[in-house]
Amino acid sequence: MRTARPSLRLACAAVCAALLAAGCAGNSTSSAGSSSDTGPIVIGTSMSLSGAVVLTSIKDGYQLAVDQANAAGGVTVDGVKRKVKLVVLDNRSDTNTMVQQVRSLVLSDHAVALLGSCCQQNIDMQGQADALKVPLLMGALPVELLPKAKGYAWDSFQSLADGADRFYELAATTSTNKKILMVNTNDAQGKATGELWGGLGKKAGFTVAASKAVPGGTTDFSDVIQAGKSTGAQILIANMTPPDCFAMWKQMKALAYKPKLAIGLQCAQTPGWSSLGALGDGTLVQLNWTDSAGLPDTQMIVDKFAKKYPTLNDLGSVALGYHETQLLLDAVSRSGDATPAAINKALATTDMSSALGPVKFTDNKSTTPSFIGQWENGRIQQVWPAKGAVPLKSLSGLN
Amino acid sequence: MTLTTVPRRWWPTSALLLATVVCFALGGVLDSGTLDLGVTLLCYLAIAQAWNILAGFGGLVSLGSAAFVATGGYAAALLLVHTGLGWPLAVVAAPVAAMLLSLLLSAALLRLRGDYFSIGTLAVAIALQALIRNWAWAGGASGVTVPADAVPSGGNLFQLAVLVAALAMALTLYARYSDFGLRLAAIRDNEPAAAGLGVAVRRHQLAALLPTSGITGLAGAVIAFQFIVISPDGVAGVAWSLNAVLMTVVGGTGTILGPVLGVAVVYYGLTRGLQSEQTLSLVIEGVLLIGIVRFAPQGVWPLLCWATRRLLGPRPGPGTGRPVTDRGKKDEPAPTASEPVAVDAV
Repeated sequence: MRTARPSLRLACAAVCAALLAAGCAGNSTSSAGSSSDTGPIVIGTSMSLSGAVVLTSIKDGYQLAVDQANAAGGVTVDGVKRKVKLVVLDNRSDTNTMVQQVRSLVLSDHAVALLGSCCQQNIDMQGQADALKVPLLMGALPVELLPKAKGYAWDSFQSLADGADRFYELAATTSTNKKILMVNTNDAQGKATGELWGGLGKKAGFTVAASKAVPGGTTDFSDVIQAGKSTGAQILIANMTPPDCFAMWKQMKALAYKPKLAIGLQCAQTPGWSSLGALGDGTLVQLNWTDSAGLPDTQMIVDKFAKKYPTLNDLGSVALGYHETQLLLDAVSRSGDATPAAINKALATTDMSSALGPVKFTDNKSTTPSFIGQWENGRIQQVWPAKGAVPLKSLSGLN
Repeated sequence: MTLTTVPRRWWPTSALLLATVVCFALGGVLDSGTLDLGVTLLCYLAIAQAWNILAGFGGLVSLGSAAFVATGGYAAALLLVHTGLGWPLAVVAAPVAAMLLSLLLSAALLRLRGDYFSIGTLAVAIALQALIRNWAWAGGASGVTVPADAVPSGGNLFQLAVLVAALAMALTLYARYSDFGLRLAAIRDNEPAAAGLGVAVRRHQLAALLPTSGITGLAGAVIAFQFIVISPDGVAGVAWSLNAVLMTVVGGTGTILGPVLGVAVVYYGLTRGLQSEQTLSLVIEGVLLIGIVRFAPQGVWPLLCWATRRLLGPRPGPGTGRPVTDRGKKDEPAPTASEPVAVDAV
């Protein structure tokens, strides 16, 4: 029977221990933030900055607000100016990574508050905020979709109902047969959006001629398109992720499905829409911000980011990030001691106007205005409400 | 009894027991951030080690770890949410559910060989994810929220994770040193020959599949307790399968300590260490995997042992006056059917 030298085992174990020790040392020095009374206030976020969804523009909004606060000497907490440290981590659009990062931000980096990511990730993050008892301020999740929970998640964003109302108001001004083809992802957000938009459509005198739920990552939309064609639906409401929408738009063109109005919820809001070129022209998009609505800080945001982000939706995302962070910093300032519990309490009494308009939370939600925009030549312009809007153009990309 | 009187064959078991006791005790000492990191590392270790037993020792290269993580996680979560029973029962239910799933699937999966088995297990993981996504009682795409007050957290969760990882390590030791492990290795190396020598192939593979599925399901329950919100994209994500493969292959397939090193390198060194540079982390993970497969297919741990041995140099074998050869002096993969089991090769 063979035996190994004890020295060999010892050496291997020593090398392994040394590697682990080196790793441990690296982690301890990377810990950021401080819970002391005078040190920087750490705010953390785990966002999709690569992968299926890229939220760089929202991150820029976060950073803008933090930079402005620090340039002014920091946030005043109980009479003392304290710098703010924003820790942004990229979760690669992966839920597991997001959960692990959020826990690391709170438990290792001692973040006293969190900023949101987008969509379903915000819902997943809500569970962590409640479990860790750290306030989470999010946008990019329509207020109706925020589940009722333990009160540590706050959502200041547009509502699906407002967006649907604006869309149907606009659609009523056009000549269509009022028949709708509705396509939603089969997740909670997709289902809720479908039910709400469908219900409001009926109230507004429209008919949902066909409704389809598709899983994320669908590449073949031929049955969906066939349903639209066979029912003669002239209005398309597509609530899907960008890659799915891109695939469907291309297949609609290939299969000669020609609705008169089409809105891309989620998908047409992303800058990637412009990569569709002329095919994307005329598609409508729900906006949370425009540069023609007279919202606070509009000119400052345009001046700083119009070159980097030429489209309205991207600038709107910057405004959203700026808006969220301003609300959070306001609550930190009013909290008295910048502890998570105090910040959470202060958020409940928020009463201010920020980049997306006035904010007051009811049941942890505050609804911001909605607008309808239209893609044309790689740009989005507001087409509804009429104030500040340009005239609606045809859905030229699919016709 | 002094240390020198402990028979050498008991050293790995003694070391595991000691490590378990020490880690368990650390649950009351470490800060919350370290404990949380520890839970993640230990869960990955249990999943990677389970995969290691199945693939490294049994030759069944599975891509279905995610299915068992999801089954365990959801079984525990749904039991807590819908029945209100305590977490200990949820911890028991998780491996039972995972083993039942593997038992159910084994009839079909164990008929597949090689790549077909891998693809079959991957299909199971993807199908289960799709099923959960469309299963309203399990929360659909939004997932389930585990009642945070009803599950262990902090030090207690860490201690639970220690026990799960220790169980996985113990199972690996058993696969490494037992007659059962030797027969499993024989099947891996040459299935017809093993069958010809009287080894019951299907029964041994099933005996490897069931406990490894159970361990993976158990890790799934711990993950559910840690994540609180479990959703198809998270707990049922195929990433669990890929990470198990990556961590074990990097560390050393068919070794005992390889997955330990793999988890440390891949999760702690890359995913966590480069969490502010996620794209770079992904690139390094990919390059590392290609490099390992191309230049060191046995993984980092055997390579490390080999390098250490080279540094220390050969020394005469006991009583022979000749240098001891490399053979038997490294953390080799599980022995082939024609080799005797090296009781102390870790």
